[in-house]
Amino acid sequence: MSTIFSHIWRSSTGRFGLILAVAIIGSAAFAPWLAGDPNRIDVFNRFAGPSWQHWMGTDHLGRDLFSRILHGARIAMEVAAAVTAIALSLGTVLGVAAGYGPRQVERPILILFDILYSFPNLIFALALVAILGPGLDNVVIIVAMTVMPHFGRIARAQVLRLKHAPFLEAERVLGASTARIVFRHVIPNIAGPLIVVAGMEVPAVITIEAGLSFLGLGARPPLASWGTLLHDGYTYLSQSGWPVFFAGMMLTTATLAFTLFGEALRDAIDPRLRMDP
Amino acid sequence: MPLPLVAIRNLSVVFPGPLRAVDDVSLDIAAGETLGVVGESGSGKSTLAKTIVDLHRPTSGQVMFEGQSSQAFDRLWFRRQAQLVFQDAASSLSPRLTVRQLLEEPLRIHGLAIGEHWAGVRGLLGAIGLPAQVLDKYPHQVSGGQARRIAIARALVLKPRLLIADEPTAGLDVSIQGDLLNLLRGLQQSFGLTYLIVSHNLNVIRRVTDRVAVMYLGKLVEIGSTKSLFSRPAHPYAAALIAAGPVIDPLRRRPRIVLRGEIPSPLRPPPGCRFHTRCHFVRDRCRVEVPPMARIAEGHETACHFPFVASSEEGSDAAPLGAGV
Repeated sequence: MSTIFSHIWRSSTGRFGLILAVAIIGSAAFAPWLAGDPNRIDVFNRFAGPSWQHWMGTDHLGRDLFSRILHGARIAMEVAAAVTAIALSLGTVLGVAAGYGPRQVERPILILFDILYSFPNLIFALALVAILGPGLDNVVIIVAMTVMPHFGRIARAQVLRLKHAPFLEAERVLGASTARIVFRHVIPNIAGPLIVVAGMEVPAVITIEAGLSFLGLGARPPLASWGTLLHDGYTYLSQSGWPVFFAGMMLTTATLAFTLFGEALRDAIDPRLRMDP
Repeated sequence: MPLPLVAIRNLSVVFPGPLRAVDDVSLDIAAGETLGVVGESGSGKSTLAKTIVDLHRPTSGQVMFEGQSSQAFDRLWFRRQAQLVFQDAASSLSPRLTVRQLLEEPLRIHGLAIGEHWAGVRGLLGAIGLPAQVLDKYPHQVSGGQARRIAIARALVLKPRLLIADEPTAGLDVSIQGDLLNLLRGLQQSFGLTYLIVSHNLNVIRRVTDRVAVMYLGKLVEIGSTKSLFSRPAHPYAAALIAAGPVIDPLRRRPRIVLRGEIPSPLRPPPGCRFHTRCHFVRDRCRVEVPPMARIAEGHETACHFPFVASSEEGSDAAPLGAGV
């Protein structure tokens, strides 16, 4: 664990990504203490530029942008964490079942992965929102479904690599049950690559959530999400460019931070996974 | 004759292909003996070993333990009777567990209290010559010889009666090989073990076994006491195998047989005697008729239509075999 950390710290981009990511997670966690009420309307102070009172200015209702962006970070982090957790666990379960189970189990799982994989993420998410209806909970479910096959495929490939490893056969000779072999010996040995994929998925998830919210399909007003901030800013772009500027900056910074961190994490855990998208 | 510990009857293991890895093999392993299995790569010896511990299902025939079919008994009970030490010992140790956890693993699987049994495991470590410091290491941090000792220790935690060792000395320095063979012999005495030792190293087989089975392309071609088989091999393949090994007594003369060509593909084994494509003494009958196992001397059987049968001259020549080894 500490070696992974020091490995990330030694790479300059990894260190940069890690610091930024920690800063974003920290400001998300402590948003209510760092900034004021994100929903306090002050119509006499609309479209204000940055000032000591409003560090990032105000939006079309005079709400403090700094506070809204920090609270937007909360939503982005919550969605990213929830999506990654769901996709990671579901993908691992299905991938391990496909890799370790009989053909009758493997086939339908692979077909499911292929179906989910064949749609472009955002288009697929749009279609599902149309069915399930907008809202953050649905966004979490939908985005988790679209990224789950990434985990599932990696998990299956890793299991196939291990399936006939002597140490698993040795466990069988000792009398270990299949459940014991899977949970104690297979999953710990495929966890590295899956954690790497989780790290790499976070920026993608942040972007999809912002995209859906921008389209009005994710976070609903007055909830502050980077996507809705961009949308509102875009609507009143002629009055003030600050909302779009700050929200866009924040989204870009977060994506960059988590991408750099994810790549450093991958290099630290398993450089062989380096792949071109 | 007492009941053998393991009785293998007409065992065949066929993999998709179809690849007959083990083909109609019958043999007994008596309690307390050391049986060696020799043969080239692809002869089916490792598959035989893995089938005995139920890693491969027999396609036909059966493996019986104390007269009971391996399909019939309780899984965990059977695991406490027979254990296997893998050829690649280092990679048979789960990489994320410490040596301590690896040695606790059999106890946990069998629901045995670790506190109660740990003293026994520590004693085992001493007997095997593993220092206590290895307990907190991971498999990749120990040497090849230590990995093999750890694998042996783990196999013995459950106090099995049969220990199968697949190429126990592969990949070890010659000096460490000797230590390991002495260790196996010592463990046999202290734990009353029965051994099945699979190897292509004839020196190892000759040194530690009581009896030897020779396999070729999935078939058992000869079985007999180590002494009898090494001095009077009856099957041309066994004779060639032994002739290829280093000669311990330079005054002894043996027929020098050099095998031509490669072992045929087990996907398309030759008809008749499997060995006829490489045999110097092949006759027409060998190409069509599969030779059955036949007794040629007390406790010595071979599957050959025209075995070398010891003349009295050769017999006297070969007598003092055990002395040099």
